[in-house]
Amino acid sequence: MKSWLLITLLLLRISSAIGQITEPLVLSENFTDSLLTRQVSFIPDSSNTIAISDVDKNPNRRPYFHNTVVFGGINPPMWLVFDVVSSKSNISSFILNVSYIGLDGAEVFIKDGFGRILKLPKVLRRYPISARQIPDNKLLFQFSLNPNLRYTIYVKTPRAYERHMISLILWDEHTFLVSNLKQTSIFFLLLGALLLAVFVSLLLFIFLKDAIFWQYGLYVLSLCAAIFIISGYGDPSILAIHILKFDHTTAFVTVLSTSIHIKLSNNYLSVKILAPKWLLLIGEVIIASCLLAASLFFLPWSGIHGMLLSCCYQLLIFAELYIFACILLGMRRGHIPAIIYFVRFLPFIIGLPLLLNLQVLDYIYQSLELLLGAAFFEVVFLGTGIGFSYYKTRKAETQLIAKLNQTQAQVIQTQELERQRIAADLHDDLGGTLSTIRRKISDIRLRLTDIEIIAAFDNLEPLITKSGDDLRRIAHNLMPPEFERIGVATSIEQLVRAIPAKPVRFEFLISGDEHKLGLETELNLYRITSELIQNILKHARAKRASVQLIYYDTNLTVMIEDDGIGYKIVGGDLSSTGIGLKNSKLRADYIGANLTTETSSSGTMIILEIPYPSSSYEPATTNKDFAG
Amino acid sequence: MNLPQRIKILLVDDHHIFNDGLKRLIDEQPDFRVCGQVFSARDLFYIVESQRPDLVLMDVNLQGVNGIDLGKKVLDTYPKIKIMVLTMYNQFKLLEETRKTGLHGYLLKDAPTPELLLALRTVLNGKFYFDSKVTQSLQHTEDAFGDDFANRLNLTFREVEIISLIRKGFTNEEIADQLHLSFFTVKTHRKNIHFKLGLKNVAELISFAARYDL
Repeated sequence: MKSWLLITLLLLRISSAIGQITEPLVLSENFTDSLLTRQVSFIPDSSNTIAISDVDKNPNRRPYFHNTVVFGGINPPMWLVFDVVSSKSNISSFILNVSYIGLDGAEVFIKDGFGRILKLPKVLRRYPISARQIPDNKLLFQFSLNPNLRYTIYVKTPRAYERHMISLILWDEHTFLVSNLKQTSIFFLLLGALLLAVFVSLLLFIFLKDAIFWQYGLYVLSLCAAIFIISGYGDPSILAIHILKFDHTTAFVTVLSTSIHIKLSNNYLSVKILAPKWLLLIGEVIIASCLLAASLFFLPWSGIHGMLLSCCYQLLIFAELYIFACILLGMRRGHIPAIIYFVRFLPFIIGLPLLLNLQVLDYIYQSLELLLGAAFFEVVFLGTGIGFSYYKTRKAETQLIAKLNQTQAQVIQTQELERQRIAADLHDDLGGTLSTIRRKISDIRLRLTDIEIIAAFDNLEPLITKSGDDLRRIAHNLMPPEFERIGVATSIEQLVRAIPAKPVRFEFLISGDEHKLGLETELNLYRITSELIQNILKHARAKRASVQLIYYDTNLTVMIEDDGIGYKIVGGDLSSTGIGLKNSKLRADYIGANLTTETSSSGTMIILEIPYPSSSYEPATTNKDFAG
Repeated sequence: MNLPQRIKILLVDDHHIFNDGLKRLIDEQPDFRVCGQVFSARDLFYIVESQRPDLVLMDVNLQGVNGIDLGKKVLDTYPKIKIMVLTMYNQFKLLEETRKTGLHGYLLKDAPTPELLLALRTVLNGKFYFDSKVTQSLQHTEDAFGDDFANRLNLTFREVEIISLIRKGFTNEEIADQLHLSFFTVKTHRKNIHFKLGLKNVAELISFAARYDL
């Protein structure tokens, strides 16, 4: 039923179009604007030979049914003809807006009632805007009509590589100028907003150092450039691209924009992770082709340019399909940025069957009104998606880092336990056994009479002494014996005092009332200090250094300072210094201490601030009497 | 048999080989006798009570129980018993603690036998014996530091530099500039100096610096 209804409606419209064709368009006193296509008849001019004088006599003249005029591509050039009568009281000015800059090189003639034919000044894209009859980015033809005379207007469409769909609109000049001013203002307002997005994303890149921000910024910038040029503003006087043939600027900017778009999409949609290799390869091929096409425009041999132009538009379609495929793939994996980006494709997907039917795939990109809208849609959704995924990634990253730090801290603490165990075993087991051996050997020696054997036994003595000392030193390094009992202050003091006065002269100071901090905290504090002292000894090239413990009212401050070169790069030593500091940082985090490093050209100061445990604010009684 | 005359020594050490070795060594002495071997802290008081040793040789680490604490407990109950710590730990702080607790000696386990016997006899004669090896090592290091005047004022080298510049009337920024330090570093040092010396303001600091000619 419905389809019948549709066909009936269509037939009615065709008949009405035919019916109106002989009637001229009457421009009354309150005429503002009118879409002309239904008043128009047309003559195809495939050989491009019909002269203006022959148009009226041409037998092929037929009414043109469509709402818009389709030309370019496989369509031959044609003549569009329509009649107008002004019923205004005075001579009035009108404007014929071919509305689309793609109709470059159209010729417009006007024939008055006396058969005089006037050719209107040609408007070409390459004419600077200021030099045009009406200084505007659109292609406009202005003419005046005497009242109550019938005029015939002829429009000759040019050949064009691209298929275009345009609307011919006849305007009252005053109405046009007012409405055009509004339109132009909105255009630049939106363009300004897009440029703001570029600025913001570049700022974000500077601060966050994530490649996706410059890619986004560059992409939006290229979109702005493309829109600017496609909209007809990019006349040669503004662009000053003299090497590039002016007619190709649009295609040139568009392919460049496309290559950035793919790069951005790859990053944004995590194509490298989600997509199979071959798809990724296709993306790379498209990027390479885009860049190749862009560079080929600079070739002086213009014979290739026509082919290049159509190739460029094919590339655009391939690029869109590629990105669409990536989005679908991402959506199948439940990738949220892909779903957000999919929304950007919705108008395209909804319009796709329609556009395929009309064979004007590029229409959506090239119609002036849709262009900015589409770009805006794209920029907003892509921006939202990038913001969202950046937030997600950062969150995941933070969690991972926290987890990693936790694991590393656990590793360190496990290592600590193991050290304690080994140290205890060394001292208590091996130490005892070694002492017993020593005693037994001296026992045996006393019973010996052979001088040579006695001498051999005497040689054993220093070896055994040495092994005892070694054992003690190794065990002490692993874990100072009775550490908990001795306390961190004394342990650090002993550590510092054991350092020889050369090459670095260390001093140890302590102030305030000593507080107990708990075994775990104290042990980590001891290790941090020990690591930092090692750093000074190994890397700082210092002459003097100090370690001091200051027991403030609420926290213990450990200050480790040297007059060395600072932790600057010293040959290949940086990495080991870095590891020392990193472990210290991990340990500090683990015990809830604050580690600050201050490096200057005359040394390094490291401050460790450890808050006292809340349960024991009063000074400890067990080891109040520290040495010094 | 003159067993009653021999001095009764109790060995407290969880290390069996060492404990047994020591027993053999002491038993070989004509005037000494090992009256018991204790391998864990919980058996100690029962054996002390039943054997009434003249001297206890005590390890520091008895499976988590501290020998010094344990010795003090024994001494509190039996003030006549001599208690000597025999340990692997060359740790001055522990030696000091032993001394302060009132125990009679501190000896390293790897001390040669004559020294061990000397220590035992010294202690049994009513004197104290503290291993010179432990004491010496610390004195040696203290000497290296003892001569530093600034350290006696409890100031680091950097703090002295900063105080002398404050005395000359420099501001924090100027001091930072002169010493090539950051402003933050200088500020931290000043805070610490005031805390350590118990000074309230710059005037007090300057008079302090003048007094010690920093």
